[in-house]
Formats: sequence, structure tokens, C-alpha cells
Amino acid sequence: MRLPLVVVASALLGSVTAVFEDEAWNVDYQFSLLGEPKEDTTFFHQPNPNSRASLLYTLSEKGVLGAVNPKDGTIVWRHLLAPGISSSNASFLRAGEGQDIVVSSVSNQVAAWGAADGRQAWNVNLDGPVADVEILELSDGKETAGVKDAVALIGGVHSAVQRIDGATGAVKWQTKLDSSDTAYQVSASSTEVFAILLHKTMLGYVKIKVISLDPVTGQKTDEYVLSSDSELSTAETIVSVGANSASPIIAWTDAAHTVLKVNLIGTKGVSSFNIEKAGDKNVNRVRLHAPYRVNSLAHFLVHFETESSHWADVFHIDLKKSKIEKAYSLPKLTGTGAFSTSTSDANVYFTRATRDEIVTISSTSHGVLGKWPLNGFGVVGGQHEIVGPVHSVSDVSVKGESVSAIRTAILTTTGDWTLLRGSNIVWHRPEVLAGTVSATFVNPAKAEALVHELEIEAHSNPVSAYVHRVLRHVEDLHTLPALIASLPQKVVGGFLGTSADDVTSDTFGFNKIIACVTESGRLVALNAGIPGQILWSEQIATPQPNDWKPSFVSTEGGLIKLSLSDTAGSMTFNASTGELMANALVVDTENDAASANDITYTLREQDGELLAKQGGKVLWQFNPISGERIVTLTPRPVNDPVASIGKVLGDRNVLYKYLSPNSALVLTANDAKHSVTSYILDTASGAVLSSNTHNNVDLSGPVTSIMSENWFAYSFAAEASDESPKGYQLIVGEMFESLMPNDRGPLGESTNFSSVESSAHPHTLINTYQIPEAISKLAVTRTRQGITSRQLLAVVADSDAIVGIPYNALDPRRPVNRDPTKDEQMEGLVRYNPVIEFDPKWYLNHQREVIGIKDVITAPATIESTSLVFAYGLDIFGTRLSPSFSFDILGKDFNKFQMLATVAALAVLTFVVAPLVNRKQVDQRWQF
Amino acid sequence: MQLWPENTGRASDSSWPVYAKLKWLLVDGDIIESLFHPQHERRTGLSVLIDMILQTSLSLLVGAALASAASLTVSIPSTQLLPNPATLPPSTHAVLLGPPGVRYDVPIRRDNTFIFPDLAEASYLLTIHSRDYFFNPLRVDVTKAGDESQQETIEAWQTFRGNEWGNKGSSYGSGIDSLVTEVKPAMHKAFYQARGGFNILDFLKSPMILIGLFSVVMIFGMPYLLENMDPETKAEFEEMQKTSPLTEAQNSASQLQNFDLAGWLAGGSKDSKR
Repeated sequence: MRLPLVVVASALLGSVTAVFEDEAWNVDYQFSLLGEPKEDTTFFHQPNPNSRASLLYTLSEKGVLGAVNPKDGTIVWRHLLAPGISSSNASFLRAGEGQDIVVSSVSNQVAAWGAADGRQAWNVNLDGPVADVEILELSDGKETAGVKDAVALIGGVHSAVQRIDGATGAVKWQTKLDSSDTAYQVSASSTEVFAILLHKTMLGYVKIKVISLDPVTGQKTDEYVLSSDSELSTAETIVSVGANSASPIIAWTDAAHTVLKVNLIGTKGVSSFNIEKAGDKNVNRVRLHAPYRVNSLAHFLVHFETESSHWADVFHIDLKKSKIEKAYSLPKLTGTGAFSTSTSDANVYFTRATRDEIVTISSTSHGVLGKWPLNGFGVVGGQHEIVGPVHSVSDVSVKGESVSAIRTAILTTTGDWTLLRGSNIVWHRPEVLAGTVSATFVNPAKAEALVHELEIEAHSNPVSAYVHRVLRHVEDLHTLPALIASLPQKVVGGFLGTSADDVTSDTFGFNKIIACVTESGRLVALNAGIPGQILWSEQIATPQPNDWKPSFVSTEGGLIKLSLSDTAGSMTFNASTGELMANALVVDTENDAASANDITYTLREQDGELLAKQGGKVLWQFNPISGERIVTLTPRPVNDPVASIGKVLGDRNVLYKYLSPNSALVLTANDAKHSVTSYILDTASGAVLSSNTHNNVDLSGPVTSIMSENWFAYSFAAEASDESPKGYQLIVGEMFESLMPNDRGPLGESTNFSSVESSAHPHTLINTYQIPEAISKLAVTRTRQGITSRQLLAVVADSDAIVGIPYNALDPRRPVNRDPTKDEQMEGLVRYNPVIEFDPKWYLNHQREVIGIKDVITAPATIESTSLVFAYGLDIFGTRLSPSFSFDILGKDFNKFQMLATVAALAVLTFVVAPLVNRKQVDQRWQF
Repeated sequence: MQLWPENTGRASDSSWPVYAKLKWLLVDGDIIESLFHPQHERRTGLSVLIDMILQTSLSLLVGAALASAASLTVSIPSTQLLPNPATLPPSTHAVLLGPPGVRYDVPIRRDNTFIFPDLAEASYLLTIHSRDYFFNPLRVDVTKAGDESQQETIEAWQTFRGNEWGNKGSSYGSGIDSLVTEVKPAMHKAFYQARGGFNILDFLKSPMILIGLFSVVMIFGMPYLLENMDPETKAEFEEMQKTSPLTEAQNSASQLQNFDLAGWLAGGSKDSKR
């Protein structure tokens, strides 16, 4: 049933638009991102215990679990575990020594994944949110040979500890803690399992409570409170709770970071160490780094940070006396630094990364084992920004007394993840882009400047325009030497490549700048024409959680104007360089007065009504019927050129399109009746032009809509009944002034019409199609003049893809229940089929997998045939589309060699035939 | 969005002691070779026994707390189209879409299965999404078994997009409380459109080129043919040409072109002129 449908679909429509094999991977580009890696869930691990090769694993702040090949920075596998997770949510990733699985935990789920292939091994859903997960390194002979069990601490109302079988995911034992305290962490030594709880005292302070459990049976063996009466005001000053080391420790400081207290878990003694000050600057952060292996030396490092400098102290634990003493200090250095711990057999090594060098030190003495100078991290930073490390992980291989090789993966302050082998930069991944919240296309300032100059010439008198032009060309003369120098290369390139490959000049308008603003407060600019090129990256603000709603106001003249939030003003940047041009963070009241004639539309969330105001006066309001709420509001795009006001039919008659620039599509949902209603509004008058109601809608699925030209589309999930199908539906509607050819209905010959006075309503045709999967976002291609046919872009999250559906597959004028007439065939209409299968050839991303896409933006290129597409959310994906093929550019399909060969063959033929013809003509004259 | 029933304390099924494991041989991160080694887990009798006791006691515990616990296991067999299901990317996942608000999404496991441990009573649409293959959608119904027991019937059929939900295809099996079924990939995804390249044979086959070639042969070949004819046939042929309607038409055409208007108006006739 399904196979023929796909074949039919591809036969009829597949030829319209598709990804070509020679363009795939060249024209499109992608950053397969993970999000910024978290320090405690990032590590090197050997996926195959028998091999020494290791992969880099991380569970990022965006809830993406992934394995990265340290050789080239490519993703080996990844999973989006928790879409929409925030960085404050607890998530864990652990790997046992010599295990071929990694264990992750997000919200109330613990899952194990094959370390090499990323397939799930097992999955457990727990009764409450997981507070911590650890791998039990100890062995009691009960577990499957070679497999290490996991132990999970469940938080929430009924906190409990569970031991999970590492091979199957079965729960071996569960111990309820029966306490009202907050579950904090779990830790294991070689003989015991410890649950750390936080007990809130009457005065609002926090006490640390330790419960020790027998790892075999789960029986509670001991319970005590650490003497920290009024020291801890919040859990935030607990520096670390060690796990799996020979002697797990718990360390905390007071709120002012003046005293460091350390306790060996399992003992009741607490050691105190004073924290020195760096000049007059207070320590504002303390971090602790300890080895993660049971058989390694019991040494740890404490990392102190002030605003401008950092240093570290190394401590040794005497296991026999249960005593902790300071061994040595590492010198104070300005700037940020990152420390990481590596082990080799029992030895422990600390690696310090600063912005100038990487140093490896043994935990036993302060002698430097290896030192590698750094010359930056190879990342694009801001103009006056000093890029430093945030955190790092290292993979050290030691031969004798020195370090023979070191690989360090560093997260920099710019949000890039860089891997260094020694002091060489191997790769860097712009993970900051995973947090893109808004993006826009901008023309480079240079191109915009030329447009501006030409406008001056067009609007002045001929003489001054001529003088202006001559002066402009004289000005251009200084670029002549460079132009001449580049000529030979251009000629060679022109012969060998195709015109679309030329990156030096941007004749076709492919090299637009894409500005992305991220949730971490950075503005990053990419080049749409050169895959993977980051032009500049600036930290523009320190986002406040509730006051960070950046949006692009305008992109005129090569300048990016960005408003930071609802209340703050705007900032302006040069799109080509990232230079800050103007900072108008105070709201300009004069400008507001000038825009008093503008109509503002407000969608009020509390009462769910849409309000149009002009200068404080309410023009109209749209209240949904009671029980309904507004789900989406989609106006026609501001810049939506339409080449033809009519649709030419097969018999050369014309159907006139209803092209009101003020139309908008509003979708409302009725939760009680499970229905969705669409309204076409005229936003000038507030009139409802047309509406449609769909029943049996699953409102928990995504509902999304788009509007362009004279048509609109929306999609939702339909609930099943015996008579109706279950699944996802796409509704497409097209509006005409009248359905009679060559007739404009009530508008007649008039050139203007007022939507307030006229009662001309559109005639709307609607078709519903069943689609194989949910569409989470719709977009439409845009070209310069709108001559090229449009393509509907749909983000299908389940297939990790973006699908470009040609409009003629969706045309609501497809004849229903009959074959198309000859005229309709001429127009390209095919018989209506209720199912549209997404042909794999429509996938813009072809074999790539793009995950977490939240929005797709499009922009026209300079040439009419092409539309630029950019998708963001988690992954970054961009491509160029030619919905009606590349009719105005020589693409890859143009065979230069074939053309030259044909010309050469014709030339040879002419030379060969010419004497023959000549002789014949002479003969004709002389022979009768 | 992933939604799970409230109580899912029961651990997932542990009934797969034998599994094919993808083994990567990695040398400094480079994948040199991948081999498939079926690995047998060796367990001591005692540990299995303890496990079983633990499992049963636990499932009893959960079973008491949770009446609805139908489980569905979908496996992907080795077929001609997909000889080794272990090559499916780890992003392959299956989605069970139930009534509004109920949706289960599980990734593929190491043994090429999808396991839905706890399904509430409802009618579901099962879709398997993979980067490389299409799979047919299934309808899965979980209903209360007819008798008084707490058991549930779980049934699966093929379903067809664009058809009413009641239109069921062939059965994919049914079971009490649990169902294990196989879903085969239906079609490979072909992402790329091939360019219509230049092919000399296709070029020569096209009718336009054939007509052109024929006329070239006629133009260049006819004079030689005529020259090489023996004089008698040549004369015959010329005679034939003179009387043929084609030449007559040519004659009349040339007459029309060389029409002597003045002569005609003067009342003269061709014959008299000649």
C-alpha cells in the first residue's frame, strides 16, 4: 500500500526539486552541536576495554549526551535526552573503569548506553527525580562478570537509594531513607555506599547528614551529622563530594570563602584550612579536583579563583591516620585557569590550563612533568576579549618520569570547545551556537554602502550625479592592483569550477552574514556562503534569567540593531566587523513619538485576546470564542514580494489571487472540545475573512502555521476515531478574489481598495493532507522578486530533518475524486491524494541528522532562483535552495567540458568542410 | 516531549542474555574495522537464581501497585533489504502515539529492539523513525482481557495512512500482557537526485537527432547514389521525378513565385509567351 504511494509521489513530484548528489555536503553546512559541556559530566573514556583508544564523552547543559572523536572533533553518536532542559536541572553521566557502557541520568530516568555505538543497553524509570548516580567500583561477586553496577539516589518526597544491575538495569535493592531531608549526593568507597543528605535547621542553616549503607544488601549501617552548625547557609558552598576514590571526601566553605573544611566520608573528624586572600580580592569560587579511581593515590587539588587570578593547593590524605595535610601550592597566575585530574595506574596527575600554557604536575611533588606553551585557543573572540579556559579534561600518557603525550579538551570563555594535543590546536567546536535564541540575515556593510551610493546618484541632478560617479570610480582605482593580481586566479577558477563556487566575489548574494544571539549573551556572526566560517563573536551582555529576550529590530545598512529585552533599549553593531556602533540602552522617547502612527499589536496572555492599537487608541480587538485560546499568530511576512497577481490557468485564463498585505492567520484551540479553529484576519480592520474548525485534534502535539503570498498552511495531530484516520495532518488553504476566471469579483476594475470600507472577502480553497510525522515548525522560501515558485519548509523532529515540500504537491486546487482535465494537466495539477509521504529527496539535510531545530529563517539571494535557508535551535544547519532549479546561474549541472568540446568539434568540422564546400562551389560555376 | 505513566518502578525486561554487540576496534579514535561478535553472558547458576527471585518479588510488588503493565517489544529482523540491523544508526527510535497527552518515545537497543515497558489501555499508532529506512506504521491496541483477571490483551496490526483508523491490515500478533513482534524495513531512503548526465547512446536515440541524421545522409548520399546508378535506371529515375507529384508541386510553386503579373494582366498566356 505504502510503497506504490511513495513511488507515485516521487514520480509525480520528485522531479520538481531535490538534493543533488554533487551539491549535497558542498552547498549545505551543519554544526552538529552538543551544547556547552558540563565540567562534571565530561571525560575521556575507552569505549572498548581492550583498546587504548578513547573517545570524549559529555552530557551537556542542553541535555545532549554525546561521544566525540578526539582526533577530529566529529560526533560519533549523540542523543537529545531531555529537550528543553535548563542548565540548572540535574543531569549525570558516569562511566566505570573498563566498562563498555556509559550511564546517564536526567530527571527520573537512568539509562545505559553502549559507549562505542550509542545504542541503549537498558533504561530504568525511578519514582522520583534522580539526585545523583554513581558507578560502584567495588566487586562483591554478585554482579555479572566484568559488569559494574550503578547506585542511584532518588530525591523528591520519598528519597531512596537503589542499586541497579549494570548488565540488565534490574533493581537489586532499594532502601527508603525515610527522612524529610533533601537528597544531595551519593558516594561510594571500596567498602561502603554513602548517601549525603542536607538537613535544614530551624535557623535556616544547612547541616550535612551522612547515611552509610551496606553495598550488598542495602541495609543502613550508620547515620551521623557533620558538625557544621551555622557554617553552611546554602548548599551552594559545598565544594564537592568525592566518589569512587580510595577515600571519598566532602568539602565545603563558609559563605565568604575564608575557611575550607574537609571531611573524609566515613569518619567524623573535620579538617579546617584557612583560605588566603589574593591581595585585596576575595576568593569567589572554590573547586575541588580528585581522582575518580579506587586504586589511585588519595590526593586531591583545590582550585581557588578570584576575579582576576587563580591558584591551587594540593592535599594528601593519610589513610592510616585519617589525616589530611597540605602538600604543596601551585603559583598564583592572573586570568582564569582550569585544572583537570588524570590517573595512570595508581599515580595521579594534575593538568593546569591557563591562557598561556598547559602544565602537568604529579600529585606527589610540585615538579613540572610537562609544559606546553599556548598561543591562543584558535577560536574567534571579541575585539577586546581575552579568551581563557573555563574547564578542561585531559588525557595524559606518561612514560617514565615525563609526559609523552597530552590531549586537553578545554571549554573557553567564548563557549567554544577546543582540543589541544600538546600545544597544537586539533579542533574546536562552537558549542555556544547551540544556545541560539534568535538569528537573522544581514547584508555585508560593503554591499549596503554601494547600494547607498547608487541611490544618491539616482536621486540627484545629472551633472552632480556624473561628478559623484567619476569620483567614486577614482576612489575605486586603489583596488585596481589587487584586482589585477587576482585576475589569473579568477580566470583559471572560471574555467575549472562553476560560477557558483566562486567565493572571492559575491555576485550572487550568497555570502550574507547570519547574526545569531545566544542565551549566554553572545552575538555570533556566520557567513552563509562559506560553510562553517565564524566571522566574529562578541559578548554583548550578561543575561539576567528573566530579562533576556533579545530580538533583531533592523538590519538596514549593514548594521545589526538588537533590542535586548522588553524594557531595555537597543544596541547597534557593524555586521561585517562586530564593532559596537551605538548603544542606546536608554529608551528613546522622541523616536517613540514619531512612531505614534504605527499600529501595535499585542497578544495578551492573561485573557488571550489580540489587541490592535494606534497611538494609544484601541482600533479593534479579537476575542476568541469562550473556551478557546490563541495558539499561534502568523502574519504575512513584511517582505513578501509577489511577481504575479493572478494564477494563469491551463486555458490562459487568470484566477486573481487575494493579496492583502494585512492578512494574518490565527489558530485557536479548544481544550474541552479537542478542536482547532483557524481564522484569517484582516489586521487593518480586524475583520475575520474566513475560518475553519477541525475536530478530533490532539492538542498535546505541536500546532504550527505559516502564511505567505495568498496561501497559508498549518499542521496538527489528529485523534483517531473509527471513521477518521489517526496521525498528523497538514492543511493548506489558498485565497482568491473570486473563483471565476478573469473576474475580480466585487473589486472589479478598482486599483485600490480599503479593507475598512470594502466588504470583499476572499474565496478560500482548502485541502487537508495526512503526513507521516509531526511538523514542529513551518517556514517558506523567499526569493528576491517572488517569481520562483515557493517551497514549504517543515521541521520534522522525529526524523531529525527539515523537509522542503514543493507547493504544487500541496496545491488546494488539485482535483478531488477525478483525474485532472487537460487544462489542469497543463497547469501541473495532479489528482488529489489524501496522503503526502515525505520523499527522502525532499530532505534538505539529506543524510545529515539535524536535532533540536526550533526555527528556520529564509532570505533571498541576489539572484532570483535562490533562497538562503538557515535553521537553528540546537544544531545549526544552512543551505541554498532553488525551488524552480537554478535557471539564472550555471550550477553543477552545467558541463563546461562538454560545452568546450562541442565548440572545438564544430571548429574542427568547419575547417574540414570549408575546402570541400569551396571546391564544390567552384565546380558548380565551371561545370554545366 | 516524553511522557511516562506515573509509576514505572519496574525495571525493563532483562530477558536478553544473548545479544549481538557492535564492537569497534579503535586506535587513537580511528575506527579501523568493525566486527560483530555475538557475546554470551556467562552467569553462575546462583546469581541467576538470586536475580530471578529479586525480579519476581519486585515485579510482584509493582504488579500489585500497578494494574496496567502491558509491554510491547518490537524487534527488527535481518532481511534481504537490511541484512544487519546492527548497522542502523543509534538515533533510530520508535514512537507510540496514544490518546491526547500519551506518547512514548524509545531509542533502539543494542539487540535491535524497541521496548515499551508499561502501556496504558488505549489504541496506539506505532511509527519507527530511522535515518536510512522507512518502516510501515502499526496500530497497537491494549485492552482489558475479557475475564475478571487483571490481565490485558495487546494486539498489533498494520495500518494505512490516509485511511480510517478502523481499517486494519494484516495482524502482527497478539498476546496477554506482553507482545513481541517483528517489523521489517519497507524501503531504503534514497536522498539524492541523480543528474541527467550526457550519454552518447541516449543522444543518438532521440528522434530529433535521428531525423537530422537521416536528412544529412539524404543530402550527402543521394548525389553519390545517383552518380553510381547505371545510365538506364538513372534515366528512368529522372523520368519518374518529372512526373512525380512532388516535382509538379515544386513546379507549380516555382510558377507561383515567378508569376508574371504584368503578362497576365496584359492577357497574354504562358504558352504564347514561350
